Amino acid sequence: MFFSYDWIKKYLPGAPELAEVARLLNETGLETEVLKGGVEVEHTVNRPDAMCHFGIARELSVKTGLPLHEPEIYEEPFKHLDGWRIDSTDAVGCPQYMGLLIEHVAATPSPSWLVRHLEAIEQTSHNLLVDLSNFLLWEFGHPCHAFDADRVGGQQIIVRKGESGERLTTLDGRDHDAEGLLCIADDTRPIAFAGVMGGENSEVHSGTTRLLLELARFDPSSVRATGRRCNIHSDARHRFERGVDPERMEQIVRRFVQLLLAEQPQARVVGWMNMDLKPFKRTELLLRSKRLARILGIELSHKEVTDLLVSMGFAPQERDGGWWVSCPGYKVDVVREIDVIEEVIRFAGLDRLDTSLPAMAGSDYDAQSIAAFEDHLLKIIKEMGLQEARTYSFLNPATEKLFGGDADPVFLRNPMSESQAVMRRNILPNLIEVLSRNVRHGNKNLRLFEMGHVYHGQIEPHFLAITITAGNETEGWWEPSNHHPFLVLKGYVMQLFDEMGWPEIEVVSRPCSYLEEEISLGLNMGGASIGFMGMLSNRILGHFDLDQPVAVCEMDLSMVRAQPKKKRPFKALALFPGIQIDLAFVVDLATSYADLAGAIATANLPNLEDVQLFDQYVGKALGSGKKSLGFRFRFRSSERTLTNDEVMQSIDRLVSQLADQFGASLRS
Amino acid sequence: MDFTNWNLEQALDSFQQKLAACDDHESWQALRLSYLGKKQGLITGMLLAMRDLPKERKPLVGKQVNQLKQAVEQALKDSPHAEARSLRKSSLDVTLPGIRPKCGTLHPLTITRHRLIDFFRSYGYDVGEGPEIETTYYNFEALNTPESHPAREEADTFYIDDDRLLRTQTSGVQIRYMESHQPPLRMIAPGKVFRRDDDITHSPMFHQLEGLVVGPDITFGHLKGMLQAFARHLFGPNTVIRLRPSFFPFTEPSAEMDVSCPFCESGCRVCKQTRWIEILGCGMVDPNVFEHVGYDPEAVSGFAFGMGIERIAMLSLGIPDIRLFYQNDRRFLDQFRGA
Ligand SMILES: [Zn+2]
Repeated sequence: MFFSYDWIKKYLPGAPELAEVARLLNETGLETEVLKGGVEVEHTVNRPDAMCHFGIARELSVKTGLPLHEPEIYEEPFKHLDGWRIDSTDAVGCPQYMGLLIEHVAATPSPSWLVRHLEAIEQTSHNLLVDLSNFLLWEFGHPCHAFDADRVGGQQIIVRKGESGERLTTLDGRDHDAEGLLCIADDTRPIAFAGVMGGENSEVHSGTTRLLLELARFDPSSVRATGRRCNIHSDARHRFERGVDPERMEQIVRRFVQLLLAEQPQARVVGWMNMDLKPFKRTELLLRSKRLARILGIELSHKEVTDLLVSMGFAPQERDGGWWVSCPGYKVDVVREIDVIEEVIRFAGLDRLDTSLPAMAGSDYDAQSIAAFEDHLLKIIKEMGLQEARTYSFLNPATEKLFGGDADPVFLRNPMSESQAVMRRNILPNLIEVLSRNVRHGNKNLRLFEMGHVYHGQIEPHFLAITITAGNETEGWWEPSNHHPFLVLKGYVMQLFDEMGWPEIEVVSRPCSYLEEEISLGLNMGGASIGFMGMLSNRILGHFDLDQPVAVCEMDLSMVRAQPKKKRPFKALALFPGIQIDLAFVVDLATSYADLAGAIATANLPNLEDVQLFDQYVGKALGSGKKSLGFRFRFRSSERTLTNDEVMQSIDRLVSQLADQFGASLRS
Repeated sequence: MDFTNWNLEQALDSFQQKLAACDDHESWQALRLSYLGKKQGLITGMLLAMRDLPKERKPLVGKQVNQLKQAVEQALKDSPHAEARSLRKSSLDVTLPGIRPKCGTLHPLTITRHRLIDFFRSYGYDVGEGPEIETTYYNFEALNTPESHPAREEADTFYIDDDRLLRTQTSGVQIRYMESHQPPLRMIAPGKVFRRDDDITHSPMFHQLEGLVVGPDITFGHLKGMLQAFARHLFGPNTVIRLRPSFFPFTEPSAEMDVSCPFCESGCRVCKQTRWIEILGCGMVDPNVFEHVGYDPEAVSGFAFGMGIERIAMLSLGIPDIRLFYQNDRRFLDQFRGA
C-alpha cells in the first residue's frame, strides 16, 4: 500500500525526511520501502490502523514524540434525520450505522488539491462526492459510502440478509445473487453489499443533488463471506475484514462535511441517523510492571512506559504495581495485557532487548527418535553411492493408480493442478519421473533414492525408494559398467541391511503391478512383506517415456524399524592358517546360483569357513547352453592346521555330489 | 697429460665425492659432461692422451682408464638424479585420474536441515514429528487462528475435506508436543509443509523448521540470544541480528529476524542493497496457545520461531530458484559435495 510523503506530513508537520520515515516505520513493524514521493508499506493482518495516512503519521508521532496534527472538522451539532427509517436485523453483522443526509450537493469536478492528493497515490478523480469518500478512506482508513439519497427507496436504510431471488449489480458492473449476504437495502431491494461494495442502483451520478453518506461498522466475517462468494476484492473489504476504529466514526462524518462545505457552501446538512446496537466500550485492563519485565527480560523505566502509553492513547493510570489502561479503538487487536506489552516494546524498540540464553534445564531427549534413525540411514545410503532426491508428496491420479493399487488414495479438494491432485501412496512414481527427466537431459548412470512419508488413509508410513539405470557409459576411465541394473540394485539393498544391522530379509518371487513379471521380487522380514524390488515393466517404462531398463525398490521403513536389530556375537580371530581352493563348475544355464550355493551349504563340508562366488562365465569354450560358476572355498579349523588331503577329500565329495545333482563338471 | 702420478683409486674417490655433492639433475648433468663430455670430458681427454703413452704402459693404464670409465658410467646411471622426472620411465602413469570411490550425495535440503538440527541438538533440543495431513484444529484453532481470523485466508491451504488439510506449518507438532510433555521443554519440529503457491521463491511443498522453548522464566531476551547464536552458527561469528516487530497468530509479541548480509560489505543483489536479509519469524508464545494445551500462562512463558529450510539453503548455497530442489537434475545434485 502506497502512502504519499506530503500527505503524511499534513498530520505530522515536523516529519523527518523520507528515508528516515521508512526506517522508523520498519522499526515499529511496518515493512516499508521508499518509493518516489512516498513509502510502500506491506501490512501484516493486525495493522488496519496503519492503512491510512493519518495512521502512518500517528505511528511516527508515537515513535518520534512529534505532535500529531488532527485535521479540521465540521463542528455544528447534527440534527436527527426526520422522515427516514433505519433498521437492522443483524446486530452482529452491523453493530453501528451512521447515515448523514446532505442536500444541494452536486457531482462537480474536484478541486486541484484533492485531485493532486488522489493522483499521488494513483487514484483516479471522478467527481467531488466520490472523491471525498475516497480521500477519507485514505485519510482515516475507514471506508464510507455515498448513496444518491433520491435513489434510496422509501427513505429507508435496512441492514438485512439478501432474500431468495434478490440480486445486486455492484459498482464494478457485475451482477450477483444476494441471497444470504449482508446487504444495505431500501424499502424494496438491496442497494449495497455491506462493507464490500455499493450497488449501481443507488450510485451517485451527475444529476445527484441529495447525498446520503454511510459510515458503519461491519463484522469482519460477514464482510469476508460476501467478498469471497462474490469474488470482490475491494478496498472496503480489505479494511473491514481487519477492523475499523469505532471511536473516530463521527469525526470522519464531520470531516466529510467540512471538506464538502469548503467546496460547495450551498450544501446543507439535513440531519443524521446513528443506529448503535452495540456501543463500543474500551477494554480496560491492568498492565503489571512485573509481567512486562518478565516477558521482555529487561526493565524499562517507569516514565518511559507511562509516556508511551499516553502517546498511544491508552490513558494510563498508575495503580497496583502497574498501569490501569483503556485500549483505544484504533488498536483493534489490543485487548489483553500481552497485547499492550507488545505495543510498548514495539515502540520502545526490539534493539533494546538483551541477548541472553535461557538456563537449559529439563527436556526429554530421545536419542532413538525417527529423526536420528533417518539421519543414520541417509548417511549409509549416501556412503554406498546413491544420490538423494526430493519430490512432491502429490502427483496426478492416473500415475498414482499405476503404483498405488485399487484402494482409494487421499485426494486434495483444491489442488493447484491435476498433476498435483492426489497424495502419494508410493514414492516411486515421482522418483521415476525425476529419473526420466534426467535421462531426457542426457544424464547417465542414475542411482537415485528418496526417503519420506507416504499417505495411507489415516497413517503416514515412512518409505524408502531406490531407482537405478545402468547406461553403457562408465563413471570413470577404469571401470567397465556392464552390470545388470537389477544386480546393482540388489547389491545396494543387501549392503544396506548389513550396514544398518537390520534382520535378514527374505527375497521371494512376488508379482507386483509395476514390475516386469520375470523380475518381480518381494522383500519379507519377520514373515511380513516390507516391499518390492525388480525391473520396471514395459508398460511403466512407456508411461514415463523411458527407453532403458530401470531397476527399482521400495520398502516400508516403519516396518523395518519395528523389527529388533540383528544380534552380532563377536567372532574370535582364527589362529591357524587356512586353505583356499578355487573351483569352477560347468552347469546348464537353467541351473541358478542359488541352486549351487544351496547345495554347497547343505553339503556341510567340515571346516568350511567361507564360500564366495568369484566368477560367472558364459561362452563358446563351454559349449552352448552351459555356464560356469567359479566358487572360492576357504577352509580353516580353530583347533589345528588343516592338511591338504583332508580338504581334498571334502572337495571330492562335493564335486561328485554336484555332478549327481546338477550334472556339474569341473571346468578344466 | 702423462699418467705418472695418476692412480685409479684417487680418481674414483674424487669422482664419488663430486657425485655425492650432486643434489639435482642439473648438477648431475654437469658432472656427467665434465667426465664423459665429448669435448671437455676428463675421461675423453684421458683416452686421447693415452695415444702418447709409451707402448709398455699402455695396457695397464688403458685397463684402469676403462675401469674408471665403466665405474663412472655405472655410478652416474645409478644416481637418483640421473633422470629429471624418473617416474616418467615407470609403467605407471601417475598423471592418470585416481580411481575414485563412488560416493553418493545428500540433497541440499537434507544438508541444510542437518546443519540446522546440529545446532539445536547441541543446545539439547528434542526433535518432534507429526502428521503431514493435519486436522484444522492443530493447524489453526490450537494456534490461535480461529475461522474468522484474516490470517486464515492468507494461508492458502490445501484441503482434503472440511476437517483435514495439508499442514501449512509444523506448529501443530509443537501443540502435540506440549499436550504430551510438561514444561520446561525445548524442541524443534522440522518437516514438510504445503501452501498453494508456486513461483521462483515459492513451492507448493516446502520444508520448515520451527522451534519452541517453554519454561517458568523464558523472556524475549532469551529468544534474541538464542537466535543470535543460531545466526552465528549459520553465517559466521561476526553476524549481527536485527528484530523487527511483526505479526503471527500464535506469538505475541512477534518479530521477524534479519541477519547482516554475509555476502557483502556494502550492499549486494542478495540483500537487495539493504545489508540485511530476512531469515525467520519468531515471538513469545501467545497465552491463548498455552491455554489450549492446558499450561498456565501466568506460570510459564516461552518463545517460538520458524524458518523455511529452502530459503536458508538458497541463501547459504547460492541457489537461485526454489524449483531446482524438486527437479533433482543430476547436474544439480552433484554440486553439493562438501557443502
Ligand atoms: Zn548483501
